[in-house]
Amino acid sequence: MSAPTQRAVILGGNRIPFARSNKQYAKATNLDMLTSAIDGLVARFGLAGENIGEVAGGAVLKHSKDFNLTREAVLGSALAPTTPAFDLGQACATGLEAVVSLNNKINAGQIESGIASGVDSASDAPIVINDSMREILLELTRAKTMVQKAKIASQIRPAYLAPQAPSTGEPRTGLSMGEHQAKTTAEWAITRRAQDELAVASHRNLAAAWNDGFFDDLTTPYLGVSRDTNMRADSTMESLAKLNPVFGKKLPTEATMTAGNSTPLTDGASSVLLGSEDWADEHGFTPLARLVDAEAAAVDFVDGAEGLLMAPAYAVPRLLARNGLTFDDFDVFEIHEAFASTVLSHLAAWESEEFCTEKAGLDKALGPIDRDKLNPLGSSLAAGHPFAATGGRIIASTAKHLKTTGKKRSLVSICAAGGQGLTAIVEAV
Amino acid sequence: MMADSMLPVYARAVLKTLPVGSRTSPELPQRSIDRSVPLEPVAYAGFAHVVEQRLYDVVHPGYMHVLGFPLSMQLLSDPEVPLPMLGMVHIHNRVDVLSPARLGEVVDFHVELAGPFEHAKGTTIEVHVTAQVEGRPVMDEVSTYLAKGKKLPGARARAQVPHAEFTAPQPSALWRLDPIIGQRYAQVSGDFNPIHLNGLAAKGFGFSRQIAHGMYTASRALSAMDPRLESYRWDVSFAKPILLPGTAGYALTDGRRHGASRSAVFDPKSGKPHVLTQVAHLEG
Amino acid sequence: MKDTYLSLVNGPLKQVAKTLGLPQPVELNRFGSTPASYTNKPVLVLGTGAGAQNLADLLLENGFEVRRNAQTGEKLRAIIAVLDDAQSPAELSPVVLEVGAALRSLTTCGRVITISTASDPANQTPEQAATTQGLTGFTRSVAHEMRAGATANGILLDGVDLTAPSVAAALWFLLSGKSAYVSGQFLTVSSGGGERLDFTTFMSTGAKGPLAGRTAVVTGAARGIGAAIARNLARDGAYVIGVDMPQAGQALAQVTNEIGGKSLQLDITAGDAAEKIAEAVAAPVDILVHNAGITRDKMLANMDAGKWDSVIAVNIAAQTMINAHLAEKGLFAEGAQVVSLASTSGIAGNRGQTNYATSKAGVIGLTAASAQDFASRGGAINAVAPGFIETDMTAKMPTLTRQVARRLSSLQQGGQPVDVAEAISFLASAGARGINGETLRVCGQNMVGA
Repeated sequence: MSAPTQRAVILGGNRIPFARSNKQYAKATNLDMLTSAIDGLVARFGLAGENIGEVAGGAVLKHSKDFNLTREAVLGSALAPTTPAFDLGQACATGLEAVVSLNNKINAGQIESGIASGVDSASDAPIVINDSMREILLELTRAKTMVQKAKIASQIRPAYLAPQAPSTGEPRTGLSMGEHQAKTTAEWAITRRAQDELAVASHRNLAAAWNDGFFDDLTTPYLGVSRDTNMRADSTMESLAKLNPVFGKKLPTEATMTAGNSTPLTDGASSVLLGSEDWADEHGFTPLARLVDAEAAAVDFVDGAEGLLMAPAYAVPRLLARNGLTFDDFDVFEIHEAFASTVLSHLAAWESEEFCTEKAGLDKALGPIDRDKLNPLGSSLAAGHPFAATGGRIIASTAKHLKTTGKKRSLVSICAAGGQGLTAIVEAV
Repeated sequence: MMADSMLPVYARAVLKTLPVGSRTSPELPQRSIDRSVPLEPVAYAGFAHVVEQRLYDVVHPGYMHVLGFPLSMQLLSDPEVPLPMLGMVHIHNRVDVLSPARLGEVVDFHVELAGPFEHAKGTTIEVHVTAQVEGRPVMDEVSTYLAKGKKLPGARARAQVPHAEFTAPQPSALWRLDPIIGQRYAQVSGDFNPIHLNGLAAKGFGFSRQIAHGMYTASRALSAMDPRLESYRWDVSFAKPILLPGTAGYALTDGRRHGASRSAVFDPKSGKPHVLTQVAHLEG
Repeated sequence: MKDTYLSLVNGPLKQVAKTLGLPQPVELNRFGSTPASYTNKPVLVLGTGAGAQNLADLLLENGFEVRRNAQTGEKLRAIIAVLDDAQSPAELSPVVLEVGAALRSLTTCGRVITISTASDPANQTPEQAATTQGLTGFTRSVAHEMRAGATANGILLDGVDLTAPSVAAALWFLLSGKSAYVSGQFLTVSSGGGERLDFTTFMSTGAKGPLAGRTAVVTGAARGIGAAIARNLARDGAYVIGVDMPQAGQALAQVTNEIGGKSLQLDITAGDAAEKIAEAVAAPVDILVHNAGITRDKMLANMDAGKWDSVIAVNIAAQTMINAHLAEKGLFAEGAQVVSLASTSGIAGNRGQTNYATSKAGVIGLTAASAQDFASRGGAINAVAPGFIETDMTAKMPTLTRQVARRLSSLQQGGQPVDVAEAISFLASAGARGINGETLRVCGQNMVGA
């Protein structure tokens, strides 16, 4: 890639503290939270009344009335109401995809500034009537005569009135994400101990970052919450060892995934400010970092050929190859912790000669990652994971981390439903 | 839920319509109620969503009205109040938002009655609500209720808010209101007045169908005006009620969104006003 | 905080209060609420020297109607006594008696302003010092005699003459509604520095306002007096960066988004606070308002280290550190102005507030001692000491104490947060750079602390 197309820089971010679902944000809608996250960003950068090139965002659990969620949030925010916006979606990678998308638009010279955002509420999730009932209701609207209507209405059975519960399960397999991951965990023989250790590190690192004031200019309190509520600074191996497994209990192998090493359902919203170097300069903003490249991958998990959340294991080798980099060239690895065992399965795959040569098309294993470089600010196990908001959380945090520590390069990886994964390289400027 | 506390109030209001005893004194009982109410996020969120207000720390002043409402009704349904509560019409509401009230704070309400006052169409009584948070005034409210056709000998004179000529503008928004909005607002406000809940009850009071809560319409109009001011006066005049189901037009008639402005909610067909609102800077 | 008594005696109970001889405070004219019936009245300039004539000319140039002799039956908006040339107490008689004779012509919320030479015992003869010092007693006493929202204040010339730019700025401040709650106070002009400000600019807002083109940092800006300061500085044209604790972030964001400023969530006691502030400004710091403050009241006998240390850390140590760091690293702009919040508790002391009063008296000392350093950059540092201001903090006082505290001032009422904000805006303006190291009380001449 040649230098002139690399105009876009990451300038900062803002999120509301993440809260476990059905707690403090139980009654907050996606629109409420997203607007507040954007308003906090606007205040931090003094953008009240300004036009931004484009605002991108989305939510995984989305009401049909929210077809224009991001634009509605812009209208409710302190930004100029003439700021355009669009919604996008790539499951848990939505937030990162929004960053990549606006980054590319800035690099292409289409816009000078952008706000990438994402939000999710597992509390205010859309409840849908079941398909049988829905079809009958649609038939009713098409019926012309009263007789036709009566006939159709007579098909309604009490059972049809039960709503379809919102689910994070895979539409094609009917299995929850946790059950999918349990199979992968077993395949890679990830131990309970290794998972719990990762969880303890996540809580410890996140708490240290909060205590250092690292998030003072990355978050704005909301509804009285000023820190991530899932975080347990005092989490220990002993306390995690007491938890019973919740996933993989029907597998022949030992069940290792507990509520402590799996990410809980969470509510929250995040936003990231991007701009061209010129735009940043005009506004007196200091760039934090630059997103230099991104790579998506998808796996065929439907019949069990690959694990549901293993796509990043394929995306990363391709991303490194295109940029001529190895793991040694990275100072930070930000790997989203959907489950502790997801991260550990990716690490195991990259260390596996067999996986790398036979599946990822490399001539040897990528090798190990220095664990001190892994998720130095904690990740989703501690912060929680409001699906579409996680990408923005990671990008803003790692960009600031590079800036404040003088480190050079960070690898970002997010797995997503549907057997997908999105990865990116963030570099200091 | 507020519904519980309102039932005896309505019961008393019904009893008051019976011709028992004499209530010839034009004086109001000199009573007031003081009560502290916490601004609880989950309860507030329900209100905010019904009136289409974005949920953040600062509480919609319409919710402050809602919190003071059961106390107002308790005073109005006092047997010594010389006018019948049922059938009284809320004709005007003025709220001075003095400083933002925030979720998590505890509001001290003080409610008292003023009047009765003369009115061209009957007699009015005012409910005065003041609200403070730790001694900081957050709101002063005056709600004016009219007892139509009732004249009391000793009622005092009171300057009336003049009825401005209203010409319906082009609506900038159309509100399609289902009857369920009556139930939804009743749930979050505790105002279970039957004229908002079913058509039969409404007929009893001379409406052809069930009608929307006036404060629902007013609060939703304020959400649309979205004032971003530290303090302001929110002044509402109620005209014709909205029959449910129905479609109402909304338009800003003066000023700009987020600032000092006027708006109207009106019948887009007849052009007659439902609710006229003004948001103005407070003097001083 | 709403003052019900104030509304009552100006409404239904006016006659009753008069008959009973109860205090009769009036609603003060403030910026934006001053009626034309006030501003169209003339100013009476008294004094026989050249200074008086110069001052009369300055007022005429700025659109004021000026009288040099009181005319019977005519109401006045202000009486200005120019006594900079007085050499002995005996000389004062004619002018002060003329002031006295004109007092009854002063309109509601009128002004008495004395202009005289600052006392300087080291360089004055005993007789001169007796004269200059004597005049301060005169002005303070006149302030006590003021009725109906009128105030009396003085401008002291310390080694400068009447033509110093800050004399004009001080005059505009004292004549306008911006000084509504300032009475019995002196503004000392000690240098000819600062920009010449005309009255129209002083009273303008936004891009034409006295702070146009400048960037101001305000700590503790999320609520109360801090939010009022942020709004006021923005009204006067400054670009405002509001600072507050991360926990107050949402309220802070609302304030800064409303005024088109920027928010900085920051614990000002953190070691890197100064760097963070400089970083947010992204240029040398131009105006800095140290407003953040806390109270942790306890009688000294019951004081613990936590209560003492936290008040000292936030109220005085933090600003000492921030000022020192910015100065040392060259991060203050040329002409930079700092205004700190002191308190009348820091002047008079207050029961149960040993920690708070220490910190606020400390602010006064810090301000005086830093003046020379700020002067070296062409700027200034000053403090504002609020008296009884109607805020959340004072609202927590018991009702009776609160009522009494309000009536103790010569204006017989509490001040509003905006009164403090106006004084800060004035002291942050380029016209006020000739005032340096001073502490201005905004207290309605509350008797506490004399």
